[in-house]
Amino acid sequence: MTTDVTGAIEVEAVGIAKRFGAFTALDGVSARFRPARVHALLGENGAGKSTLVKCLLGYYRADEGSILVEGREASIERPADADALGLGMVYQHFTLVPSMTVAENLVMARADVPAVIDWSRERTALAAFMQTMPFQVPLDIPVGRLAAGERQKTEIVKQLYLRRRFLVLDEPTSVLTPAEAEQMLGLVRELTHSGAITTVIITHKLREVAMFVDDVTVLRRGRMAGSGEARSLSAAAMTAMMIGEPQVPANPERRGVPAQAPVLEITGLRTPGIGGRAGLGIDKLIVRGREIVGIAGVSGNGQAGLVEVLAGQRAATDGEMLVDGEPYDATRGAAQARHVRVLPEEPLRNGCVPRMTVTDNLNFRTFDDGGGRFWLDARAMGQRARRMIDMFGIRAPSPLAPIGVLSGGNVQRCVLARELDGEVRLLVVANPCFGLDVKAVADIRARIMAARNAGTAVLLISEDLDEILELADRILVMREGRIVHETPGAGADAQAIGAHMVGQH
Amino acid sequence: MTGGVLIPLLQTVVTSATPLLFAALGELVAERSGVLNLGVEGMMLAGAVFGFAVMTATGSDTLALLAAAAAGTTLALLFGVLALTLAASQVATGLALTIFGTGLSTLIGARYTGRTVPPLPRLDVPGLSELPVIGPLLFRYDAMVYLSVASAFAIGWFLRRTRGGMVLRAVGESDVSAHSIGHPVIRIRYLAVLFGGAMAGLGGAYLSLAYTPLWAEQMTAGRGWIALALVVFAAWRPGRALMGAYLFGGITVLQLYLQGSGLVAIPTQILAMVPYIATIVVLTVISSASARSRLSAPACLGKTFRVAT
Repeated sequence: MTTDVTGAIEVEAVGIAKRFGAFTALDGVSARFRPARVHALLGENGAGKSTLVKCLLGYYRADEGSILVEGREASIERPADADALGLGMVYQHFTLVPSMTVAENLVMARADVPAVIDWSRERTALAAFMQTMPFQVPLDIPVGRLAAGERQKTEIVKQLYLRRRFLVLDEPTSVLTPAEAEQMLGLVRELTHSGAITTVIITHKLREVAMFVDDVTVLRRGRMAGSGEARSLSAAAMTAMMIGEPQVPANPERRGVPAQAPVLEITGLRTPGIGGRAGLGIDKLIVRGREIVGIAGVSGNGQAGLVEVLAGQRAATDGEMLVDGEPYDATRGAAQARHVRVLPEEPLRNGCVPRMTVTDNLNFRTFDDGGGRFWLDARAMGQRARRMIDMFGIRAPSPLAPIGVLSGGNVQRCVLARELDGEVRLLVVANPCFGLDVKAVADIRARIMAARNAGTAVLLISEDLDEILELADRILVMREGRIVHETPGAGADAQAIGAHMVGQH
Repeated sequence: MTGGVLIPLLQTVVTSATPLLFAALGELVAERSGVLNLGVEGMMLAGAVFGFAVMTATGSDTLALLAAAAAGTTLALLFGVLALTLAASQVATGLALTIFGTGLSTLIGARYTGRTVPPLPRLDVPGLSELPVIGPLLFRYDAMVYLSVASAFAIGWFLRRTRGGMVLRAVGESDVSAHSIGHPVIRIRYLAVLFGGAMAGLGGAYLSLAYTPLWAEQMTAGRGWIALALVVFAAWRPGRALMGAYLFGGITVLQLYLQGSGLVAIPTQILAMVPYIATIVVLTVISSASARSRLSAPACLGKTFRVAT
């Protein structure tokens, strides 16, 4: 392959420390990224991966330590300094302007664009540049109209266009389908091994590490937890470095069989469609006690609508909902009386007030239980919060810290703690593990399974088929607002479920 | 309507559209960078009174126009400090700026009330200005009219064809992206807002120095709000802002003409309301998020940008 890029460079971090107030994000981390190799930077959420690369790229200034580029100390005070050295980063979001075309986005990112742009010349140059790329992206389409995989490729093309020689990819496959992800990582590896760039991939997908990565660096709680060549490290060894425990969390144990009587019984539920999307048309949906019913489906097929109806955020035009045989209208009163709990997806946004304290957020459901008392009982609230923090192993700087500063896993633990407190007959959960790290995922799933084992009826709506296969006693497939397929969870065929999800069975 | 009436009428359309065009173009640039400055009315009034004061004191129209632009820019700077540096709400800050500009202009203008100045001189083009019909329609205006029209084209060219214009649009469409590429979002927004202030100041000065060369309290009479509506009406494109300004100018003049002629049965007060009703409708419509995206408003319009540490 012939590109204009002058070649991969080596970057080394030496004793980097970075503190935010009292919180130490990085504590003397040293790591060497050898040229023309694909490196993985592994670690749980909050381990310091992004802080480290932001120091390398000039977005943060390290409090201590130095950065060596090609063995020489480099002073990187701001992003422009990193640019000049050929260091670049592909973020998960937000670096392409959606309403502008690929060509405009590429040209704009360059530092040496003349004041008046000669578009015909730029276009010729871009077309010639594109010829040298291992993959193509359309130049004249607004970025907002590209599929996620195409957008990710555009980001990489942009970095090469800017003649970057050291490239950090921040969870590059989190928004891609498995096929897109493999294609993209394959291209990145090919490019790296050709000597054009040095690549660092921030990830926690160990399968991708095994397939595409040469060297691994693991961080844990702001410190170096280990490193080595990918092929000499097993998945178990890498997980152990990441979570600092020798044992990988086991799958939660399923105990007892579902009860006979239904807890949730939905009949003939209808909602109107919105903006060309199908509304709900659920003829019959039953969830029994001590049973997890998983609803699988491609995103946007009515799952969100169902959660909203059960949470009382959207009214059904027709149909009946019964909980333990009593009518359920999804008001707060009915949810309290029938012991129904709903965990929306993206809990920080949909289930918390980010700027209020952990204590306040843990008390939202019950703070007014006292029955018409005017004053809040701060002592009781504090006690309840501390009990939940202990029980659910929530890691927070303090019970009085705003919940928004917690990691995603700890926010989800908070919401689970709040909603599983007391008697729960029906639990509705939507995408509970989206964006969480390995340990948090295992923990959250174990909590859900424990609730089921204790007799709670669980309706699990998830876009992660693996999660449904792991947890559900019974699996339903939803497409265009309808239940189109049902199968027992034990021994369910993922391929068949996938086919029903896309309507090709 | 005879030709003898029509030509002066159309000339008045042009002059009444000019202040709207200046103010709308300035606000358009600010809004394309993602800043909604509702202080246009205040900045226009400041420009009108300072322009008039300097004209009275020095007799120099160039100095008067510079003073007007400087006055608008100063108010815009105040807006920038509050809404950009200190990250206050743009809507609240803009409204406060209008109230401040109104009060300030009344205070400064108290001693000038009722006084007049000679209007800006016409810039006749030898030969062309004497042509029948074409001459009076196109070539018998003051320099500011030509400047406003040229500005519309220049801004269109700037936004489409230059690096600065592209970065400005990027900042308005996706501040976070622009920031991550390394463009100074706040500085670019400052420049856009200051330009908007200068243009609003010129628009106000055109009222007090050319359109009706006198000072009267609150003489902008809501034109700042009309200019704001014009930006939306123009879908944030300078060319359409030009057409829109002339359309709104036309409605204003037609209303005055009908009022004078007694030709129609509609009460003139109703006609006088038309531009303002159109403004209210437009401003109401853009306050809804879905309407904004349908009208292809800059995606970050009105959103406060804070640099993460």
